Formats: sequence, structure tokens, C-alpha cells
Amino acid sequence: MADQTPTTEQLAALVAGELGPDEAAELRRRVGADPRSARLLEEIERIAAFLVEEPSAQPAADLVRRVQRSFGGSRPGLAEALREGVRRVIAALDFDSRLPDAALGFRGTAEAAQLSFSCDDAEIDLELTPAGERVWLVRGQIDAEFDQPPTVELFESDGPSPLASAHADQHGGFTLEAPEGTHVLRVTLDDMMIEAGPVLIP
Amino acid sequence: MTKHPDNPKADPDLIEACLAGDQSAWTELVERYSALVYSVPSRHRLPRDVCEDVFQGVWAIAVKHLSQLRDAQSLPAWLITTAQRETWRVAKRASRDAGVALPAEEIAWSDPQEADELEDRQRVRSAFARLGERCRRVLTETFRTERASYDLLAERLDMPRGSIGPTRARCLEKLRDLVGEGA
Repeated sequence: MADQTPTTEQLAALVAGELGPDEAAELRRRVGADPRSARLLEEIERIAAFLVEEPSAQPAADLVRRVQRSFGGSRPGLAEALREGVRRVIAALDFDSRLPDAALGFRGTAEAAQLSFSCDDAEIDLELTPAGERVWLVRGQIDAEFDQPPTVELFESDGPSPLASAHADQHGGFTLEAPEGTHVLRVTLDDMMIEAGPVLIP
Repeated sequence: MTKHPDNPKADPDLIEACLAGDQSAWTELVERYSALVYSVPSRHRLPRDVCEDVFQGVWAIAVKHLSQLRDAQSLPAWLITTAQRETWRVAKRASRDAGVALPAEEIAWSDPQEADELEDRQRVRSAFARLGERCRRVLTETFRTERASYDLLAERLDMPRGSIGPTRARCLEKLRDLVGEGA
């Protein structure tokens, strides 16, 4: 009489190490004689390996939230501007003086700092200096071509209203005062809205 | 692990929504692929802060290239390649600057075999996230490295001891179907 095809339940027990040595060896012999069972066993082993290793693949929840908040797509004015044909551009952090050679400024603090963001159409340099208790002066320089003086707004990374705003001068320079925290800088430049972040103060 | 909606938005639709300024779409996109991205540095057993730098770096690059990603054939494949390169770059830098002994020399700039494996695992991850809570618990509890006795499992899972095996088999079948749907 032909061997019975192993069931999913039996194969799962084998993968989970729940069978005795003789029972496991006999089941493996039957699997070896049946390519479909062999494929099923392989799939269950793959699933089991995923379940065992998955916890180490999970980033910390606050790290994920930080990345999720850094986007800031829900701020008022954005959707309307996009509907009116304004182009939205994201400027990524290229340099943070507090993190030598670092890509992102989520860690570290210092008395003063220089940050640099860029996208295809512009570069934005920021210098942060203390201006009071938990308040910082943000001096910025926008390096881009523009017809109208750009407006600059600083938002909390997940906040709805700007914490500070300013008009840049004809050379793209601006100054803002900002509280400590994780922020996003929005620069409206003719038909383009650039969002640069995270701006970590201090 | 977060339970995903039964009919999750396709990646191009999510990216389109992100480009239209939809914060919830970005939140969902990051949620969907956070484990995939983080698994690239973490599988090399790099220190946590290095893994976190890679994670943040990959998403910063993704934000910058969102409009091109709209046309990407496979977002998971793009994220894996970007994470591999970022892992190589960050690990090399950390090894050089911090003098920490890191296995940077074992980390490849690009590893197609690893990429295939990670893409395959992402299919299982996405399918698993669509399983019901009960099935997810049964599979997690019964396949964990440090397995409890069946009596303890029955208590934890609030089901008769004799139902654990058949339930697990049914959950595996469901999971395999979901993996097949996503292939």
C-alpha cells in the first residue's frame, strides 16, 4: 500500500520540532518520496523562519513614528497649493555639523549647528544659534533661482500651523526664531513648494 | 506587527497619494515597509544606532525620489537595493570613524541573492499582516524559538489543547493562499 501523503498538520509539527526522532525520520522519508510534500515542507520552513526572525527585523516604534512625521504632508495649505499647480519638492538633509559625515540629524546636540538640505532645484543652508531659553535663531540661505522673494515657514514636524515665518530677501537670506524641537521648513519659491526636514533644534 | 487592511492600496496609488500631500498615505507606506528596510542592516548584526541611521537614510532617499518611485516596477526591490547600498555606506563610515569593529567587509554594495530572499520574505510579511489576529497569534506562539508546552500554549491561546495542531494547519493554509495572491 502506498504511503499516505503527509498532512499540513504533520509537517507543521515536524518543523516546530514537536515530533519524536523516529516519527520525524519516518515523516521525512515520506516527504522525500513526494515532491508536493517536499515543496509544502519547504514553504512551512520558510514561514517558520520568518516568524522566528521577524522580531529582529522590527525597528523601534518611535523611530518609525519619527520617519512618518518627518514627511508632514497634511499641513494646511499644501493640498490647495498642489491643486493650484504648485510643485511640491522634498529637500533632504545633506549635512549636519553635529553629526560628522552623517546623513540625518536625529541624534546629537550642540551649542550651534549648521545644516544643509538639497533637492534638484535648490539648496538651503541653515545656521542655528541659541537666542534664549529653549529658543534658537535660525539664519538661512536659499540658493535657487526665483522671481518673487521666497516665503519661509517653520512647522513642528507633525504640527498644523507654522511656528515662525519670514520673507527671504532678494539674495535668499532669512532669519527666524524657533523653539526647540523637530521641525520641517517649508520654502515657497514661485511655483514650487520645498519642504526640508527634519530640522532638529537644537 | 500591525494588521494591514484587507484590501491594501497598491504601492503606486500610495505614492500618488503621498505626492498629493496625503500624510496618511506616507504613514501607511512607511508602516508597510519599515520591517523590510530595517531587516537589511539588522541581518548583518550591526549596532542598533547604525541600523537606525540606515533606516532613516533610506526613507530620506525615498522621499527625495518619490516622483520617480511612482513608476518603479517594484517598490520593495527598490527599497532593498537602496537599503543594501546605505548599509554598506553607513557601516563603512561607522567602522572608519568610530573605530568600531564592524563586518563592513562582509557587507556587499549589492547582493541579488539577498535581495531575492528579502523580497520573498516581504511577500510572507505582507500576507501575514492580512491574516486574522487569532491565526497570527497561533502561528507566532507555536513556531517561536523558545516553545512553550502545549498545555501552556492552550492556555495562552485560549483554545483546547487538541485544537492547536488543526488550527495551526488551517492558518498555514490561509497564509499560503495569501502569499500566493501576492506573488
